[in-house]
Amino acid sequence: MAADRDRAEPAARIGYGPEPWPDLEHALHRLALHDDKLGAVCLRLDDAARRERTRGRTRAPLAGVPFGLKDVWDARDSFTTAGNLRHARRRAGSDSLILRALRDAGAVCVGRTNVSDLAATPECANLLYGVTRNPHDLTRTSGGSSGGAAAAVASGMCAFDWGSDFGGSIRLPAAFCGVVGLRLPSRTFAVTGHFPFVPPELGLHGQGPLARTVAGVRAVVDAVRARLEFRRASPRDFAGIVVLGPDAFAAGEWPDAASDISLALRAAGVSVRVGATPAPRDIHHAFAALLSNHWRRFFGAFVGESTLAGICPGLGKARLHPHTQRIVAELAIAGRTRYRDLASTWRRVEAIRAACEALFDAGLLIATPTTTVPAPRLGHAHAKRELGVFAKLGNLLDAVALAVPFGTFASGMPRSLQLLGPPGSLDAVLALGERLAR
Amino acid sequence: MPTYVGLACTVHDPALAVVDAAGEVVFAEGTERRSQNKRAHQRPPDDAIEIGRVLDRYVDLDDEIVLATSWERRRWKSVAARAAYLAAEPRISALLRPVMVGQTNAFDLVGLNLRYRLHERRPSTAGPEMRGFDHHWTHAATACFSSPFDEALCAVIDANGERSSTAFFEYRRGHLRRLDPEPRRSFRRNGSLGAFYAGLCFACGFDPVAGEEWKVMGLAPYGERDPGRYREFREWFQVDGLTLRADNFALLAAFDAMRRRPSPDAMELKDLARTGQEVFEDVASELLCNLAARGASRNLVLAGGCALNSSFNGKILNRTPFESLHVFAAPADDGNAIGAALLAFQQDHPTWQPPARVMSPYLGSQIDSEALSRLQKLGGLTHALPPGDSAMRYAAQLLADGKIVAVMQGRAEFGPRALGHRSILADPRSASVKDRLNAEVKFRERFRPFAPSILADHVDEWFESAQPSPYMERTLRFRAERREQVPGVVHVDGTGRLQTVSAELSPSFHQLISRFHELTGVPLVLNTSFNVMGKPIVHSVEDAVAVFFTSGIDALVIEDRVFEKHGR
Repeated sequence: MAADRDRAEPAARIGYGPEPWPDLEHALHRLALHDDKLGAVCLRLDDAARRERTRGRTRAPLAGVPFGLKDVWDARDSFTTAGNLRHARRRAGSDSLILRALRDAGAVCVGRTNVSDLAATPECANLLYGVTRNPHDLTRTSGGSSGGAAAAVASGMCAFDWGSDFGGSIRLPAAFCGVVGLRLPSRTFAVTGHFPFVPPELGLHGQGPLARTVAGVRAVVDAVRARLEFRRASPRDFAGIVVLGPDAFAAGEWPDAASDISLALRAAGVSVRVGATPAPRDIHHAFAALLSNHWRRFFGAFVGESTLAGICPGLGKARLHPHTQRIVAELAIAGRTRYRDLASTWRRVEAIRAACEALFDAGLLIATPTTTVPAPRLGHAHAKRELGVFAKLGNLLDAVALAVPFGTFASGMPRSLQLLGPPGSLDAVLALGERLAR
Repeated sequence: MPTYVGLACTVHDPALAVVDAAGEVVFAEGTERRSQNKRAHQRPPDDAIEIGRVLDRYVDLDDEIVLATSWERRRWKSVAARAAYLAAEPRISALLRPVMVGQTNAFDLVGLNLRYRLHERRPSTAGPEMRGFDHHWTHAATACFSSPFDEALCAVIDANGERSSTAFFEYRRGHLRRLDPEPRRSFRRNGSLGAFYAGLCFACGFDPVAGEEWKVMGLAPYGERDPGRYREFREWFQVDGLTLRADNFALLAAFDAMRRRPSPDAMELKDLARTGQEVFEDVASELLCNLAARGASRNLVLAGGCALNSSFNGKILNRTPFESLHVFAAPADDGNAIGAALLAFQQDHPTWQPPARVMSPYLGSQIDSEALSRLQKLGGLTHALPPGDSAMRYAAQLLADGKIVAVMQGRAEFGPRALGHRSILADPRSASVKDRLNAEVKFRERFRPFAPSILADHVDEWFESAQPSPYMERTLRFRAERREQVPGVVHVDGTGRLQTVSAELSPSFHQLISRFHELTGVPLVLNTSFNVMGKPIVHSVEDAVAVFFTSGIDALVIEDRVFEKHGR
């Protein structure tokens, strides 16, 4: 029966790790115990982690703290593959800035965490390392593209991970696995040393930590901020929040998200009002149009083909996971059909940006459900078109975007709330997230 | 053994450098200093009168002399032809014509005065050989040969070379290898960040011909990004690996259309400045990340006129995978005099490898001791130094007492920055000192910030992401807890364009700041160039005295002489 199917068997879940901020040996123990079931860590670095810990600076802010590194960040001493078969032995010439910053802060890397092929889909699966499962229900996805990161953090295999996010890739897995995920804006925190390349001029790409608590996320950001934050936005204070809830398009399994979130925010002492603009349907189409118009910039190098006629044979030769093939084909076709008018795309995008900037300028943050659906069953994420709508709003705005756990769905799977603010609101968003957590 | 004379012969910022038979740079100076003509537009690097004095002082006339120019002779005809074509282009002829026609003339004039003065001194000897080098190669040579690296990746980002506006090199054990393919396209299609920034400067109501791009940098932190403008500007550029494409004519025409009359209140355009600065940084960062992806080195050497963008330079190590950065004191076209001379030297000495060290920037003229004696004897000024005290220590005391002190020491700096040898100094602890300097000494806009010179050993205590900045080439953010201690040098966004002062490179300046540190507990001073707005940094004792008496400077220190105004 459906209800039975929705409740995972006790043996089919691993659940949360016992400690929200495990030490190295604890993390390695959990890794050894559970990763064959989860598939979160695609490359284990146990010995290297132990050596790093003994060499490390004991007074550094993250001294000895174990972290996972999403398999998109360049590292000289391990392969960075983005889960792509053709780049299985790709070794970068230099460490990415974030890896250097984390090591300088004393943290030790326990392994590379799994991603969706080319970090392109909301389901963590690739032809190189396989599938990452959700620790709360092994029949469901951990999400993507930072699925390995979220699963590893949730199950106690590391204290935190550092992900990347150009369409919800930190926040969706965080939501599905019940952890905290933060997206930092690209116009103040540069994304460098990331594979695959994401065109920076669209302002969609971001990065940030995943951890079990908001305090943990804040600790990681504080440790690397001076190194990564190349531009300071004017700090902004906020007087209240606008809650954007789902419409018929994005209702999913949480149609009352707006009222649930409003109640919680009011209980936390925040001034709240409910808004309807921008509509989730508009967000979905604006994001899809923007990606479709620029699909060559994202995927042309991997497909080796930039014409529509050549896309299918190109995809076949590219040896991409079927989920990624589907996404690329959809974008390529939509870019030549439904979303072919670039000027119209920019009008959609700028209307959304203008509406939200007006809220920010009025002293308001934005709260939404991170997603209105629980972690889908393995292989079914692509069917949920409403899945990433609210997360994508954060990318369109190049916003500070924080996903925090917020109860559970009827199935028992984690649920999540998202806070959005402009680049200068990082401290305000984190402070509010901590209040909500309390 | 030959002596090599490098001639930077771009129409603006001409300069001359001398490299001796051992490969040492013994002299380098911009024409603007000697002529006291800002940027010395359309003047040859070998000034008709001054070149004789340079030859007498730095060149052994018994030696063979090799002249080296910063543009390639065999391409001069095509550059000149292109210059003529561009000058005739109706949309932007008014913008580019003076530069392009002037450049054509510059190629014709370079070396003529030097040949005449050489012939005057040794009439029976054949004239010197002249060699031309690719413009971007001379940029790369200046930057890499002056760096502390044995190996590095080098990015030249410029307004215009013979063919392209960017060039990328690998530098290894003294030798350069170009990495990017030389474009076949014209100036029109090769994306030029230098042209972009000059256009932005023009649109903001400033004067790029006078080199006022740094006013844009100073204004930008006051503004916010305009999303629509950002997208418009950003879409002009396409970055494809190490190739930058743009329609330079279209972007210059767009900036021309945006141009407003010079406004008494530049703040009206702060958002435009901010947006343009962000686009510049984002495009340049993308190019540098693509360069870093080559994996050949973690050291970056940056050159070209765009390397004067200190605001961007301070962010490079936070935005790219590079771990170290070197930007020479004169990264723009004046610096090419050194690169040209050293490339000529290397041609004759193929195994030569420059020493890996930070090259001293103090390569210019010495102070004329006779002029100084005349000033002391005939100027009617009282030498104010207390007996038993040194001029630098006394100057530090004057600073601590709130005085504005102009300093002239040793050899002049090469390049646009004053690095303690031709500087006006003040106490950074004062919040009002900025306004006083802008109103009474520099006579410039109020939004212009002032720069700190800090003891190299103390950088980490005062700045985030501490990095060496010996040539004042980087802007970094002050640590939050330090900003209120030195409001005179903290810009509106919490940054400062710092010079890190070491005893090895500048012992006298280091002594002054050390004494100031002893007196006040603050290891940095406010350092601005010894000039007034619109004029180059002072060159002679006479220039220094003129500025001293026509501005609000309280004391003048020349070598070991101290002169104070009374009644201030």
